[in-house]
Amino acid sequence: MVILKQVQIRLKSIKNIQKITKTMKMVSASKFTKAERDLQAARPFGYGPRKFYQMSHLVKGPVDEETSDAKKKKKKKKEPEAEVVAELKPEEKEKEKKMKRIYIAMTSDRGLCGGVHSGIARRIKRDLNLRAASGANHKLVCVGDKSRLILRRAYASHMLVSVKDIGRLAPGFGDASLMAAIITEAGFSYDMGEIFYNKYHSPVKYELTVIPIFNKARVENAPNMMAFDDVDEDMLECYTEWTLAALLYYALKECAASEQSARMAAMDNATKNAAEMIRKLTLLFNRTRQAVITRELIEIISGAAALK
Amino acid sequence: MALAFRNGLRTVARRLQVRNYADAAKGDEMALTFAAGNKVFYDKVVVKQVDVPSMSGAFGILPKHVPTLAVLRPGVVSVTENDGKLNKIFVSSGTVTVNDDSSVQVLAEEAHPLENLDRAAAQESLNKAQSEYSSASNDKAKAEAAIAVEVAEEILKAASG
Repeated sequence: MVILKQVQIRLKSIKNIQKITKTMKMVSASKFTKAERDLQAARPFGYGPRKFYQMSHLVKGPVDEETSDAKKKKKKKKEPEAEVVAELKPEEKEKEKKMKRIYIAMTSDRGLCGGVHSGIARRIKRDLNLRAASGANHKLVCVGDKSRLILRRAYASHMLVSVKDIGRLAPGFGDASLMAAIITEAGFSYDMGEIFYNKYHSPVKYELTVIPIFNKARVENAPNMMAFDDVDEDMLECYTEWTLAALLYYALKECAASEQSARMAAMDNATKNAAEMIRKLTLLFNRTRQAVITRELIEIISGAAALK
Repeated sequence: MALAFRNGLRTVARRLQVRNYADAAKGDEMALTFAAGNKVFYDKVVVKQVDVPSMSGAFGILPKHVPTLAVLRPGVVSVTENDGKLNKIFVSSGTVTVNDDSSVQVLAEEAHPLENLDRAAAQESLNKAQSEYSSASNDKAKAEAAIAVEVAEEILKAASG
């Protein structure tokens, strides 16, 4: 038998939860509009370096993804995967083993936003396992507490640095350059770096994207570097460091926008689910109350009948 | 002085050159992307010329410039738009990339149009930076203060015309 008081307490708590999720949705909606506006301003920061990578043939094929439609992108995304799986010949495997890589996971401190953070962590885990990465040559940089929490147990030896306190305020360029400085000062000389972030498409769509980063030596030896004018060492070093900051800034902004949009959707769903539960519980509550009244009536009437 | 003169000459020479190119072949246009942390100024807009202050000296970029990379130093970037309008924007730091398809990307940390600069505020920040420079204890703080002084000096120079 259902106890009336219990139903009442449960109903009350769910109503409170609904209020909270509703408020969170509205808060993230307003943060989202700001993040989206900021993102428009940050897009060239991603476009510039990508264009340069393409022009210097550091990256094969078009890097500018902004025009390609979703289908094309899916295909493109699959290709590198296949490459990694198929093309691991023994000598390449050896080379791959020696290659020093750095993985930058772009997440934030806040949860309650669907699969935004876990998607990134999962992809990094998969890549690490696929490359049979050793802790000495493959390092992780965790931006935001969420990715650190997910990855730190399994990949403790891979951790290089982690950045906290992301996601409370809108990220600025200062944050990005500070991060770039920390990564550079960490003293790990990587051959190849990758930034894992969620690229924002529309309020209901984001996609996990990987942007490569290159150090000075790689840029110097880029296949098409001959086409470029002579650049002295210091300048190139400055340039690559600054480019890292710019890319981090871009990725931060993309992440902020997709995170807020995902949180908005998640909270909207939570509010709807709460409404559904409230409907069911109210029904149960009314029925139970009615049952209690009926039972009491029966008791009174049958008592009165027995006295006759 | 001599350097400025030479730069001037070079820009004039390049301007003449570009006229030849423009007559000879259509389509060597220069698409400029100019963005800063606070604002996007140009997004793949076709312009005539861009002058940038870089670590290895200021230089002008015209269509078909040899591909190059450079790091910006604090100073004024002037953009000559296709209708001849001159747009002057102050930048604090950043990078310039000229690609071999004649597209130019200027990415700056902070950038503001010249008319938004305030002379008095610049003077004030210069004084503050100078006092920080003289009171800096270690090398790092000293270098940071030196950069602040450089930026403030350049803003002052740009603001006073």
